[in-house]
Amino acid sequence: MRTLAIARQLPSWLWPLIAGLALVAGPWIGLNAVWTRQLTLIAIYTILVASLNLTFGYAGLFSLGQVAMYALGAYVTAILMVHGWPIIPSLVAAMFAAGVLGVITGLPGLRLAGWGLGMTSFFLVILTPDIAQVFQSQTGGLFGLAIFGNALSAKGVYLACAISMVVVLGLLRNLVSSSFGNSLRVLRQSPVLATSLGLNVHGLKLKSFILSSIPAGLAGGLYVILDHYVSPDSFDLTLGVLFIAASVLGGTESIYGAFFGVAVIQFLTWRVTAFQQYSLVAYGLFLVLGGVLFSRGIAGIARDFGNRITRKAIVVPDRLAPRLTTPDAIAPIPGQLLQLTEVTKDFQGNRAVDDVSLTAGPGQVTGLVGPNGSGKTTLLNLISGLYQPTAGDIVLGEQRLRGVAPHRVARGGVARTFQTPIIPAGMTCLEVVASAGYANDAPGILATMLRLPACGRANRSRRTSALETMRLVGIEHLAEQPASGLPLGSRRRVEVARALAGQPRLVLLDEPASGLDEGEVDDLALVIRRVADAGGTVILVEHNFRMVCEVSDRIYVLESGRLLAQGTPDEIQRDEAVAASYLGQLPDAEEIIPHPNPVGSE
Amino acid sequence: MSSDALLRVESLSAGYRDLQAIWEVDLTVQAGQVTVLLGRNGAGKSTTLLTIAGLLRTLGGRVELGGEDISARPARLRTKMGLALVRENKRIFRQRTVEENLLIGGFIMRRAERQKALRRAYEQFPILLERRHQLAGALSGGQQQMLAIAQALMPQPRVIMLDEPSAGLAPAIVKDVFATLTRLRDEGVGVLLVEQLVDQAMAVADRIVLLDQGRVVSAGAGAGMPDIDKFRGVYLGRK
Repeated sequence: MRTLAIARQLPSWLWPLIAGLALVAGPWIGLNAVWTRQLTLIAIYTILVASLNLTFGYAGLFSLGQVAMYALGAYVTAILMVHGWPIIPSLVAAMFAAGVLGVITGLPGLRLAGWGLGMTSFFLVILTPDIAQVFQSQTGGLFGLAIFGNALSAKGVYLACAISMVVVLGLLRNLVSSSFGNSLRVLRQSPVLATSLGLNVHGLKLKSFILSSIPAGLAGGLYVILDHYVSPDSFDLTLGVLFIAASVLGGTESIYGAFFGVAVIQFLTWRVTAFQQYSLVAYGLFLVLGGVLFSRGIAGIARDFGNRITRKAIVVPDRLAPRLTTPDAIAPIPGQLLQLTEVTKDFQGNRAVDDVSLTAGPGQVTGLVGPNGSGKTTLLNLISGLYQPTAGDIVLGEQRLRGVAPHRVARGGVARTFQTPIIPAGMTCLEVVASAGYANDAPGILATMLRLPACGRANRSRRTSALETMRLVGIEHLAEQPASGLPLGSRRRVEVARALAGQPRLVLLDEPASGLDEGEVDDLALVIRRVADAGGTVILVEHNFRMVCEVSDRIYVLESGRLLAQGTPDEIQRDEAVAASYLGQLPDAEEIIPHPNPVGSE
Repeated sequence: MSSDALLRVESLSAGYRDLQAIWEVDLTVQAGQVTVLLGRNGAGKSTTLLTIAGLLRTLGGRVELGGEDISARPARLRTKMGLALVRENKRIFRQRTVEENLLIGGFIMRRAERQKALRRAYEQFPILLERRHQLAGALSGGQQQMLAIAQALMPQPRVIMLDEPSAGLAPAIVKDVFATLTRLRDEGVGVLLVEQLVDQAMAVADRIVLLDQGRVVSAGAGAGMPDIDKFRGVYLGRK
């Protein structure tokens, strides 16, 4: 156990690399011909399943399209080789073709919500034999296409497939463990969150779909090099189900897991004749077993085991969180003036926001209160671009926000939190906070896959600024904790830190104190005040009236979508209309909370 | 004292998978009284309620309802015996109508009784009668909380446990929720309340239990109530 624990201290890429090299060297260290062929097939399928995991596991997009990309890659390679092209250019062409097909199917498929991509790709697979038939002169139609000459030895084919697999797995591993991979996790958790972090949801889905198409094309080409023959009946839905089953068995949210999922299924197909006969039933069984018994597949079991050894999995609840004490000087925040002019929003005849004008200045906290259902959150959604106003204008600094896509509003510096914190599963607090910077300074896909210095630089700078923000909010000690399992109070603070980490020009806080205990509310008030004092523009929607009065410079009261009152905290507390509709009664004179101006500065 | 406690929890320990969250918690709830459970976030308040309701595995200790040991009973039988739990965040069926939600609350009852209980619920919460055919998700936050409470009250529980019923509600609505609680108390129901709004909770409390890091640090009723200002300073970190 001790040695295992030490083994986990080594860099995470070391063991897979050693295993990969051992696999590549297989035939020269005693692998016989039968096993060599099986491993070749496993390598080909692994490339395909690992790339499927990128869309299916990480981005949460269901697609059977891998089979079509695989078929296209196979045909392109076969046709080009029949015309005398050498192997490597043929494979490159196959990858290119698969990428193009990815764009063609992804564009419409991803526009359709929900099962759109699943359906589009399903029909693509069903159509594969017909398409082969249409281009009979090139593809050989239903009889298939055989390639003569230009053959590699069995060992040569094995080498090509094994090296391809190691390279593809390496690139994919770099991709999923990067900010791009985390962006996909954010997207899978909540498209609304992805949008509010400035990520282009549609673009991100399309990118991941294309990126998973290209290796599928390569796998198809490698299959042709192995078999020298391609025909339409090699690519049916059974194959698609096999890939999904292997993905689930290995663990959908995993790259290396694909190898083990494929290996188990391939081994059974090879050794158990009955398995071949009832393969669809067996794949179905794997899917059910995978879903019920070990939802994260072989990779999940391996991770749990590893975590048990190093005791990484135990989430220490944030019971002893240090209270904020020292009011650190913080870096200036470039807040800007927000102006809402006569904003109205109708939902099918129901007027949710009615002619609201509001100003929130830099260096100030603007409180927004009102009964449940009075339109506060709708107003935040209008500002962040999730809704478009029916009438009126929204201007931040010099920029009109009306008519701008929500992810562009976010990129323009509008950050927010949510009534129920949205924290993606599988990320540490530091990663969650750092995700605020993904939209504006993401290194390119290629740089990420190859781990170029630019990628490392971007990561380090994001990490540093995220840690700085976490210190401001008082959650620095949680940096390496899995974020989604933390208690509510901590999750709220993680969200606030995420909203502040992207150097926002405007911060929208939606009931950040709900569910916090008194001490946590005090801490939060201090943080909000510090942000405003550093120059930030803050809009605070909150039911904790005491806190709103303590931190706000100006308070707006909404009722049934209309402005009921506005003024300083003192004025609002004395307002009879507010007392009647919002507070329930007029507060006693001594209950009025003086505005300590400004909290947190000496 | 208080052998007449309606709900008696003795030395209760519980937790999640590898992690123990509460240790040897003792508390009682009397008929027609409010017991308030206070503590920081993560202190184990919700865990205590869930364990009493039978929704978490008990690691040790016992739970008695009306003098009967229910520690080994599954959650649904505890409900049948008169124990109700209103969980945090207004967990109602948002895509069902108000009336359907209420009927779901009376799932364990016989048909005729269920209809009676429905009429009773509408008497107690007239706003729900007005909105009976609307989807629960379309109600305002305060009305959703009322619905959640009314749903739990359908089978006429002897003890009702509420987990932060004021969260996310406007001050005026919080007052309504507390008014409902005091009315239940006056009708003889035992109330176990978890609440972050310390002042409001103190105003209705007959008995207080302070929890920190999964253990009871102080408890008492009447003159023996714990010093709340000290609690604020020590456990909530307030000045």
